[in-house]
Amino acid sequence: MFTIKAHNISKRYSYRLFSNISCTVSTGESIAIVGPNGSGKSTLLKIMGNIVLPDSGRIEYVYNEDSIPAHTVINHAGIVAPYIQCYNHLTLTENIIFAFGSVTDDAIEILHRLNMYQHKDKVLHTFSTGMLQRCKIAMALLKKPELLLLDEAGSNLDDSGRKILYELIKEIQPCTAIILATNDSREAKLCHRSIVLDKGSGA
Amino acid sequence: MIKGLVRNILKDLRIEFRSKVVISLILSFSVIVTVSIGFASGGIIGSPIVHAILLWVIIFFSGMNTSHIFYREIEENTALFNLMFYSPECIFVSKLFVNCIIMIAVAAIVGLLYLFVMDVSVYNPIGFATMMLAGSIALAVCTTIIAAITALAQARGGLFTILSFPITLPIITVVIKSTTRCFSKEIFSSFSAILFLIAFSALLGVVSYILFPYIWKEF
Repeated sequence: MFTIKAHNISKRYSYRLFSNISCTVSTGESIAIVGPNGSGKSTLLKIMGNIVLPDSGRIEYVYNEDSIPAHTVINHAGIVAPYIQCYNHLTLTENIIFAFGSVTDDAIEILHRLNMYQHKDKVLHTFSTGMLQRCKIAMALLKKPELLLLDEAGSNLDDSGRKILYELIKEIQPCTAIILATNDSREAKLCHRSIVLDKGSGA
Repeated sequence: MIKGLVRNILKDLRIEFRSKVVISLILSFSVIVTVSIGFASGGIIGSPIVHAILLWVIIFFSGMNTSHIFYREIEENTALFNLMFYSPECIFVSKLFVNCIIMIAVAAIVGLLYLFVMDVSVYNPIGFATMMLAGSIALAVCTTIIAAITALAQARGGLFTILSFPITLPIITVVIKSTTRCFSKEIFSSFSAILFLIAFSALLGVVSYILFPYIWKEF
């Protein structure tokens, strides 16, 4: 059981991004962060994943009823985001071996589902952006994370790719806490709740 | 930790042998400069201290290119991907190991090339070899932590220069002095210099290991 409790989170750069956001997400729950461009969706997602620190407020991470240090959250997280990439000079198989040690049956299954199995021995820099997005999704899900952070996870995917992604999200929802930042209303509808960010004025 | 180390080291070496960015930079710089000095001087440089200075200047500037191994993680947005699977400590130690391997190779190639091109006699080959090994490891430790600090900075070029000056100065001074003695007929023991380099590397390495998780965040 994994829970994130955010209390009065605020962040500003040269302008105020958002302020006093509080929410709780636990295993089996999903939350969508929506709002216009520049409203701070990705920043809030990064703050929830302890990738970026908030200016004020605090976040509590609870794993199996014990509080865990913020810097260990990444060990429990799978991330699909524009600011995270697999190694482009390695093949998909080499990326999987780097991360997990071997290509397991689970890996083969998920590669088949994402239609990437036939490309597993190709170097990633030969892939299209859509194929790279599928690689990121595969790597994040193969980790079997307690927390899944999805930042525009459907971007660059074709219709079939989005359909597969939505199916996978639905499948892992019961055993994962999911935070999803998106502009796509279809993706937001996959989640139980939403945080709507209004540009500059908070949630 | 061990599995993560091995996987990160193999990954970095595999990426480097495929992209050849660092290897090309180091080889082109070291070979061009060494051969150019050899041709330009025409063998008239006779002073051991001048040879020692030139040799370590070439090794230093060639070795600084290993910082690209850290920068690549930031430029290609793979740092967070790596952190998703391995601890910052594991990433730091693996990068340090890769930098040491490259730095030792650089010192070996540049050292042999320099001795051959400049026709320098080494009167204490064991002391010279040990000095090259200890000096290159010390420089690798410096490069690794400075690259880690500057990787997330906007003006990394300037910051790298400023930070590397005080850290590398004692190393360069010690290795130049000891290498000079290896090139002269003077009988000496390089033990104290090697001990200094090992102690300096160990201290810097341990401090860097402790600090790295605090540096390597906020992507």
